Amino acid sequence: MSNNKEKIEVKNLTASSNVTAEKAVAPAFAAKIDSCTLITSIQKDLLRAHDFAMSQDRSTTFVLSDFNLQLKAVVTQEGEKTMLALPTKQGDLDPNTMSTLNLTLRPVPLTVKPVTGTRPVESIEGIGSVLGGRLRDIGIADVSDLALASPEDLVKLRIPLTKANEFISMAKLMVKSNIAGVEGVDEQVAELLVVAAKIDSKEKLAQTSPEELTAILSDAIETGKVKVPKTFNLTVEDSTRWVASAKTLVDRTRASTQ
Amino acid sequence: MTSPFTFFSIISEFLYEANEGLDQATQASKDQPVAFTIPQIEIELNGKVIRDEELEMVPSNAFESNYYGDKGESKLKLTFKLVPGEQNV
Repeated sequence: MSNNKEKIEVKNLTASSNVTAEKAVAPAFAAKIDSCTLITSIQKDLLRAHDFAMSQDRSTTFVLSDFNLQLKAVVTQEGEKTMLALPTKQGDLDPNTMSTLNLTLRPVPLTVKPVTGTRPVESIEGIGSVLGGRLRDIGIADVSDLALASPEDLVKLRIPLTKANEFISMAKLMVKSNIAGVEGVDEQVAELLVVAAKIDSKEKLAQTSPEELTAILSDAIETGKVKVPKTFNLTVEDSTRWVASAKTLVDRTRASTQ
Repeated sequence: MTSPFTFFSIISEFLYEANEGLDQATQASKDQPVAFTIPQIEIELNGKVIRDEELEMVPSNAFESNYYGDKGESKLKLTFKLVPGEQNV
């Protein structure tokens, strides 16, 4: 903490757009910052970096996983508030007065809560009532609609492209998680069911005829509506197995809730 | 050597370079039976944290004497991990 005996000269940097190297090496000044501002400033930069990484047009990409900062600062007092004085190049600060602050920031993935029935677009992190209303105005009422929307639709609502992609990915993930558990339904099949047949839940799948489903999916594959690997082979037996498994799961859920 | 940078600029710069390297390595090993990838990159930087309108860091200048020595330098450690991302496909 601050010690009155020490002669610590703390000056605020002037707010100027001309941040130059000269300023950084100017003698004897330090900027004061409180811990809250320090953390939120770093967090803001990390979020920008996350958006940057996600906007890279690659199937795999590097993202920042850990951010560790060991900061040397002089802890001072300003009124009731404890402030950190950041030392710059040279000055009268005694190295022995400096404290060490270790900061680790780690990205935490958001958990998706499974919700049954129709889920409004507001159940996606970052979509509030205002944006939700605008999405409904263009026909995107729930998560299933959003999963099928194109990023361009959202950009028209002045949603940044990166954010639009993020919302759609999140919606796809939520839709797939609702079909998850059905025997033989992997990520590829889940996408096929959602995009081609608009089946986004076990309940809908259980009520579908396997023959009709096969016809719809085969048509979607043939017309290129959905792209699948060349090795992907769809048969009526597959559809029958998915529908039967969905029925079993739905019955089991009903029995457990009764 | 003494130019300050924001955390965002240094992270995005490294991300860009790492991803460029990844692309080039993928291209170079396209016809090879095996491909080596880098799962993680760690960077540690010594310097001083300053603040104007944003937080900035001035990397240590090897050509100038450091008044504070080891006791006054901040350390910035960055870890980049390779992740496949659905949103990037």
